[in-house]
This record gives sequence, structure tokens and C-alpha cells, in this order.
Amino acid sequence: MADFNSMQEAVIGGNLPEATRLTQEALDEGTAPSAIVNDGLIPGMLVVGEKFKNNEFYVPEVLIAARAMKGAMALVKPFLKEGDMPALATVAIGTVQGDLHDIGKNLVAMMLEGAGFKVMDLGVDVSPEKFIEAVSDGASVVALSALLTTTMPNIGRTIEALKEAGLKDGVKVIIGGAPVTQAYCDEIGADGYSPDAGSCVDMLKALIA
Amino acid sequence: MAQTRRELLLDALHCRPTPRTPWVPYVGCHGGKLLHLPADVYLRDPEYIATGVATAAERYRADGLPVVFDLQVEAEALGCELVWSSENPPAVNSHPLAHGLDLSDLPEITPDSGRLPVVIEAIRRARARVGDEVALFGLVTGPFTLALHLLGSDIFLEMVLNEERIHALLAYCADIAGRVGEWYREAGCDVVAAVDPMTSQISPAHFAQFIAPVAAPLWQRWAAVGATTALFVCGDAWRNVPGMCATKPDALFVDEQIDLVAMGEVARAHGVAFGGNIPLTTVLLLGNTDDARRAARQCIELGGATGYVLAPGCDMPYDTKPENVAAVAEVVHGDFTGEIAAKEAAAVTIELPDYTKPGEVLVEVVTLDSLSCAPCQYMVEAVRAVEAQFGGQVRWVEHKLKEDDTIPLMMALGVKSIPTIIIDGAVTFSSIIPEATKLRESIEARLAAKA
Repeated sequence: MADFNSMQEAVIGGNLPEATRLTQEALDEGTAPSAIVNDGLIPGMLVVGEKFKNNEFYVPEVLIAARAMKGAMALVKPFLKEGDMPALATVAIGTVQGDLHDIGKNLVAMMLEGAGFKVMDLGVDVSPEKFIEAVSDGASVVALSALLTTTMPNIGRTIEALKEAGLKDGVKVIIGGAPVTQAYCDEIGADGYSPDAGSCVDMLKALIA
Repeated sequence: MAQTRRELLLDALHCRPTPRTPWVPYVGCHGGKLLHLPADVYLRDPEYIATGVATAAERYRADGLPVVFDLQVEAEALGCELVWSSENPPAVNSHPLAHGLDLSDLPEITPDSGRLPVVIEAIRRARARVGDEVALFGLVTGPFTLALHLLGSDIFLEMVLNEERIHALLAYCADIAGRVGEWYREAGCDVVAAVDPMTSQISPAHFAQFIAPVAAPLWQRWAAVGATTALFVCGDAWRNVPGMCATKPDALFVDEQIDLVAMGEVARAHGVAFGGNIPLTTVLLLGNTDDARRAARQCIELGGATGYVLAPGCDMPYDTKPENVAAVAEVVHGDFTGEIAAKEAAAVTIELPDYTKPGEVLVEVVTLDSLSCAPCQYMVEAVRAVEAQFGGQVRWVEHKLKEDDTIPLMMALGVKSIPTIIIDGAVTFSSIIPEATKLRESIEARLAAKA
């Protein structure tokens, strides 16, 4: 019987060797790959998000946990069959045009991935056109990040571009970054805002429920 | 001789009492806006920077100013590529240590590296322009933020996986910071501050393990060349604030994510001064002058009378509204002309009390708030002491500026400064706290006139 508790603990503690060992053991024992992901790895990453939200974990602890998660996922992925792991949604994420800051955006991407979303990471300095392209390629959520007060308006411009392309109604747009606030979110007509990467998962889950 | 604004600020930074709260607007790339120049032109020219500092000193009536607010200067000198923009400081676009280089491969840093000569010359010229009147801050990239520039976000993983490498990297970055701070001090800065925003992203345990051992010697190194020292952080650094104070810079500056009252308690317990935290975006950039005044008053009230410096949360955005910053300066300097004009324009009026009641004199004290403003407190105490001697013939009230009716009352009665004592509607003592005899005589004269 696979030890899902220990697997979760290995992810939470960022213990890559232990996470991969337990995952390999479970696979060897014939545990369903989807169970390893859903009952072992993802619950571990959700705890990480929770701890980040509560200031028990900081950036290094999150990254080290994500690394353990990723290592274990790499073992499971070849055995996952189509339909085994329906993604919660496909999220196109990027830092908006003119802004090169990626730490916050990367954390959100990891959290979403760790919670079972499919993530298309478009990188930094992403033009509205690239976000539009990603929606055409199947993203149903657009996640926009900005660190600078001067690039924050490009969040609004990206939303306008989605509207002009007739795509806004078909997607959820979520936003975040140091200068961004709920008031700004309401003002520009984004669908969701979260102050940190940990709360982003809950916010998005509620949004698409 | 009267104290200069610079001396007032330095007193506060060393936790000595000051007659008012000193104020340091972080004019970085916003200096370019003041001169109608793009940030990428402004931040590369010592004459423009010095002019920006002098302009801000006058327009914002600053007690101290940073000369340059750009956390990429050292990174650029060490080989990081920058991307420039017209309304922001540049951003680091490459991390040499992430691409196979070792610390020993990085160029030697000298006062002639990268833009350091621009900053050093800007400090000299700014000093010549503002003289001894205004304190100058030399802002140095903090060790952790510089390490992040050099290594990229791998640093967070390496803190767990390769501790020795990170200890060595931070020691290197602290040495760079130490040297740059010494050059800035020699060029004429009063205060040398490490700006280390990324330290809000790590746990107290990691702060104690990696940052504290290099931070404490850094303050000592700068203090040894006569600088007042400070640490600037931004973001929710609350859990690291005790650890930061324990490294003993002279002062710690925080942004609006930190509660100023709690901050003050921790800082005072460590004998460290502190500063902050007018909200940058919601107030200075997007708000109006009323928002700015309200935020400034609130910060001054929460920061308390000793060892507190009013400042924005972080580098002011390029497009910050100059009138908002000037409104903060009005509050700092107890000048209400702008505010009164605004209320007049809005035609706010109130009903005045009845000043004709026989046998009773009404004494009104207009204050910022006697609980937080020392001169206001003495003014109120003076009234309270005299009141007792009149056995019920004197009634007194305090009007705090933050109360809605106070400004209209000041307009109606012609009060121009704070604190002020009004006796039956007549402005009698302004700013200067009256001696008990003078105050008593004034009240007696009024009682006699009413009899």
C-alpha cells in the first residue's frame, strides 16, 4: 500500500530523494499513477500553498517543495493515461508587457501546477497579442502579473485587448503583483485578484467552480 | 543657532527627540519627472540628478533625500545586463553567476565601474547644491538583493541545497556594499542605507542564518567612516523585523505592509529608529492631496514622537503627483494654507460655539493631536493647569486636526498654525506655549470684559 502521507510530507519538506523514492515504490507496487498524484503529491503542494499564505513558508521553502513535486511528477507522468488527470483548467500566465520581474509569477505558476491546473508559462514582458494567442490555443484562464506601478496599467490594456478580440467573456482573468489591489481589479474588470501565490489557488478554484 | 533640517533628521535617526517629525521623500526616478526628463536620461547624468535632488529639497521641503534610488548600479558594475525604461529605474536582465561564472570571474569593482562615477559625482554636486541644510542618503544595493541579481532566483534553492555557496556569495555582496557605501560617504552622504527588499521573502531562520551575519558588520563598517546607517526593506517583512533590528542599523525603513505601531514597539525595544510608510500607489500615485495629508497625519500619529521619520513606503513612482508630495510636506511643516484653500473652495462651514455666555470663558485648543504631538500636548497641559484655578468659570475643549470640523473652525476664526489657543473665539496664542501667568491674565481679562 502506497504511503501517501509520507509522500505528502516529502513534498512539503522539499525532500526530493524521499519524494522520488516513495513515488517509485508506489509505482512498483502497482499503485494507480493518478492516485499517486491526487492523493500523494497534490495534497502535499496544497499544504505548501497554505503555509505560504500563513507566512509559515517563504519563497525558498516553496521552491524546494515544488522541486520535490516536479521530480516525483516526472516519474509518474509517463504512466498517466489520457483522461487520468483532467486538468482543473488551462492557465496562460505571464508578466505583462514592459515588466521583467518573474519571481512572483513563477511562484503562482508553481502553485497552480501543484494544485492540478495545466499551466502555459508565457514568461515576462508578454504582449497582449501573446495572451490572445494563448487563449486561442486553449487557455481558459489568463493570469497577469506586474511588479511595477508603471507596468500595472498594461494589465488593464491586456484585458481591453482580450475584449476587442472578443475573447474576454470566454475566459477568467486573474491578476496580481506588488502594486495590484482588489480595487484595481474591480476597476479594470478582472475576474479575480489574490495578494499572494498561496491564496491564488483557492481564489481560482472558487472562480471556476 | 537654529537647527538645520539635516540635523533634525539625524537626531531622529539616532532616536533623539525632535521638535517635529522629520521627512524623507524618496525621490528616485521621480526626480526625472520633476525635470521633465525620462528616467533613463536622468539616472545617467550627475548634473541632472543633483538638480533633481535640489529641486525636490525645495519643492518637497525635505529634511533628507536619497541622491539616487536605483538598485541596479552595483549589479551593472559587476556585469549584469540592464534593460532601461523611461519611467522606471532599469531592470536586471542577466545573472552572470547563473551562466557558469564564479565569483572570481566577476570584474573588480572600483569607483570607476559602471555608473558608480555618475552616482559619486551626483552626490558631490547634490551636496554642493543643498549645502548642510538637507541630509543626503547614499542608497546601496543590499547584500541579498545584489546576490539575487548576480545568481538569479536559483539563490532561493541554493539557500537550502548549497548553503556554503550562498554564505560565500553574501559575504562577497556585503563587501561590495561596504565599499560602495564608503565611497558614497566620502562623496558627502550623511546616511548610508542598504536597500534590501528581497529580505522580506525569506524566513526568520534564513534571515538569521544568512543575512544577519553579514548585515551587522556592514553597519559597523559604515559607522566607522562616520555614516549614519539604515536598512530599507519592502514587502511584508514583519516576521523579519525583530531580526533586522537586532543587527542594529541606526534605522529601519519599511513600507505600508508593516503596521507602524507594532514596528515602533520592536524598533524602540532595540534602540533603533524607524521610518515609513505612506502608501505609494493608492495615495501618492493615484490619490489626491487630501489622501496624502490624511496618510501623512496618520503615519505621524502612529509613528510617535521620538525616533520616527516620515517617508514613503519605497521609491516613489516616476509619475507620483508632485502636489501630493507637497501636501505631505505641508503636514510635516504645520502649514495649512493649501488645506484651508481646498476647504474654502469646497465651501465647508460650521456653526461656531456661543462665545457670549456670561460668567464663562470658552478656551479652545487646536492641535494635531495632543496624544501624539509633543508641542500640542504641552499646550493642552498649560490650559488644563490654568483651568483648575478658575473654579468652573473656564470650559476648555481640544479640536484635533483630524476631526472633520476642525479645519472649518480654523478658517472661521483665522487660525493659521498649530497648536493654537483660542479664548472665546479670539486667536490668543499661536505655536508658542504661553506661560501660566500670561494665559491666566488673558482669561481674567476676558471674564472682566464679560462681567
